[in-house]
Amino acid sequence: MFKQLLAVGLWMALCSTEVLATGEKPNGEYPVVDRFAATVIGTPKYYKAELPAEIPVKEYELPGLHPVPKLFWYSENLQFSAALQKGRAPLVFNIAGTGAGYKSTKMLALQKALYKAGFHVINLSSPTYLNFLINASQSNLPGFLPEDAEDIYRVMELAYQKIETDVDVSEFHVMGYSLGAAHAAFVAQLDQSRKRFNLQKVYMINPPVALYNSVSLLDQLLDDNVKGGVAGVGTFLDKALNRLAASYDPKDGMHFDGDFLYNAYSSWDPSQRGIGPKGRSGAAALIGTSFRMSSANIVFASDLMSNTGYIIPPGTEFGRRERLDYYAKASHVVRFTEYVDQMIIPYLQQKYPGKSREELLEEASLHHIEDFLAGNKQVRVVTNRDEIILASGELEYMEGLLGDRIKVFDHGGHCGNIDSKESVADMVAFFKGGQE
Amino acid sequence: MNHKLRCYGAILAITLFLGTKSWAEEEKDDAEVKQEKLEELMEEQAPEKYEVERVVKPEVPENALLIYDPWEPMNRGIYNFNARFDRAIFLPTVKAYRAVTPDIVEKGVSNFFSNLGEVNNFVNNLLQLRIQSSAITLSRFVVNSTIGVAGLWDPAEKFGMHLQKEDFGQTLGHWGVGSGPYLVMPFFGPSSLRDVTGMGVDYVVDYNIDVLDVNDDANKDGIRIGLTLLDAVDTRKNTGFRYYETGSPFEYELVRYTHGQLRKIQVEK
Repeated sequence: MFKQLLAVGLWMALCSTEVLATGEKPNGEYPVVDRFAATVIGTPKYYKAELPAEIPVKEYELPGLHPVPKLFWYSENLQFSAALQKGRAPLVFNIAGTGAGYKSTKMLALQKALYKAGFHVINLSSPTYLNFLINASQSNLPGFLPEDAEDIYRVMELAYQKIETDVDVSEFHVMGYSLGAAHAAFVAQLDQSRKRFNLQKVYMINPPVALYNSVSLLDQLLDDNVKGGVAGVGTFLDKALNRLAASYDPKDGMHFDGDFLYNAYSSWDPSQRGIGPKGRSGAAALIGTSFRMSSANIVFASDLMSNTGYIIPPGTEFGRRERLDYYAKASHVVRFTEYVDQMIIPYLQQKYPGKSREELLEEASLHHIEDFLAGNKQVRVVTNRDEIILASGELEYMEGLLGDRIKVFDHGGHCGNIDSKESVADMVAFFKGGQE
Repeated sequence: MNHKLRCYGAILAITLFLGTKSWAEEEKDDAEVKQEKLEELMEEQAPEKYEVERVVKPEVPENALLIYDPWEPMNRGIYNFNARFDRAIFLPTVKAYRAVTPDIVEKGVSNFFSNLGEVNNFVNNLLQLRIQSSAITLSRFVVNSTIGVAGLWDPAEKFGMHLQKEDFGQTLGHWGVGSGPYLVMPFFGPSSLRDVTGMGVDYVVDYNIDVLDVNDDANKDGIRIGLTLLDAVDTRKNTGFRYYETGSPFEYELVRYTHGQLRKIQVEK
């Protein structure tokens, strides 16, 4: 019986035509030219930097600042990770973007790239990430850059204390992407007076200039691209998923990943690719939707932690099995700009009486630290010409401020090209520059 | 096969787990939140009483995340149990398994269980009258059981014969059975009433076909438990999902929504 089976198996193997099939490897620049699609799809495989599949990363916990409500039982203690070299090396603190944790895909890619290049890397969650917001944000109302920087700085000190005995550090650097890039700059500026780390280099990937402008643009994506605004998200997702599902066939050996999205996107008729009826873009709608979900997370968690009473009556206690329907609904209708205007600003005005909304918003922008940025030769920004979170004039502002210390790629949208060959090479070259 | 395996794993793990009991005690005060209390809480949450004005306005949109889930409190309890089990036992076990096992062996184990799963894939493709998929599945099983040395390798994939995964839940869906209420299974995670039924049927089919001839073995229980545990560890190893790492307080709702969409696509494909 076994012999017969073997014979049949061999016969089928030999008859197969696909044995020798090999994939074509395209060369050249980052390929996705639509800025929204680039943001969603990321970097297709052949354009990605070569990174190790696995590096030795250890995870650590730090005690939180606040008691953790029952509902968030799973998020006690602040988590972070470190990839440490055996010998002496520079250490890079790497800060995540809006709503992202230290283990997000982008964070892991950056950690791998720098570890491979010989650096110690500590990955920190964004202050807007649930675990950080609960445990390490003094106010529990993240989004105001100067206060976020204080929180991050404290975490950096504790994190370094935690690993100090296992690591030999020659110097310290800081970096981040998206909101994390702005945080990196504020942290570096804070370090100038605190002097705890004497941070040398600051690398900023796709930073916002004025945070409020950026979140307005992202809020707007949902309103402009999802029919009916937040009420239409369900219908939109159904449609988008159906459309994707039409190109997706797991039985053809497909995997649902970035490359699948890229292939699906490339295979669609260019005239229908991004833009739907009335100029609506599916990719933009997706970005708007996911941004709204991030802001819903922040609104709910901040409100619960800070007892602001914005959507949760103060003093409400949630059990671990609580049905959150009402709160989920309420949180998702809140725009990020509304969170800033209705939760953060009132809190800040109470804390710093006499400051106007405009003054506070200015303090939460790179304008506020422009002298530091302009005067510091060790600050570098990379961004894209088709970045979606910059208001008009903001790219030019940064170019004027930084001169040859800003690198602008043509395509990539918001962080879409973060792990492309060119981007990773730029980052590694910057951190290695001037080293012996 | 998978399911049965995991059931055994579950029972064993529960025994182990309850032994540690630290969380069980913690959970106890939660357990006292009985139906009455829940209803009371629900009422407290009613918007007209407390919520800010924007929430009560009739134009507050429905949220796509909120789908029919009559057993939500129970489901949430099980979801949390799974998360704790994952952290305390499942993931550490997977980590240890990965540490002691060379990658090529891990791959072999995955392929082995995937190959055993072809029995259910074949039966269900057939039940859905997917003739081509059934043929591919049969060919895969033959090729991989022979050239692939009892399924340790997957040469069929390289020959362009891709896995045609189908389970009885999908078969039911194919013939028009709706998914029924959302259900979180201990250890297995998100499912639905229909799919749980399907799992049971697949298990019975698998048990009776008995590809490995385990039923006649004197040590059949031991073998089954061993296989079950290994399969469970292997399955967990291949699943990227980690509980409570989405960074969303609404993770339960997100997982529920995503799972529903995924199954819908699987049934349609």
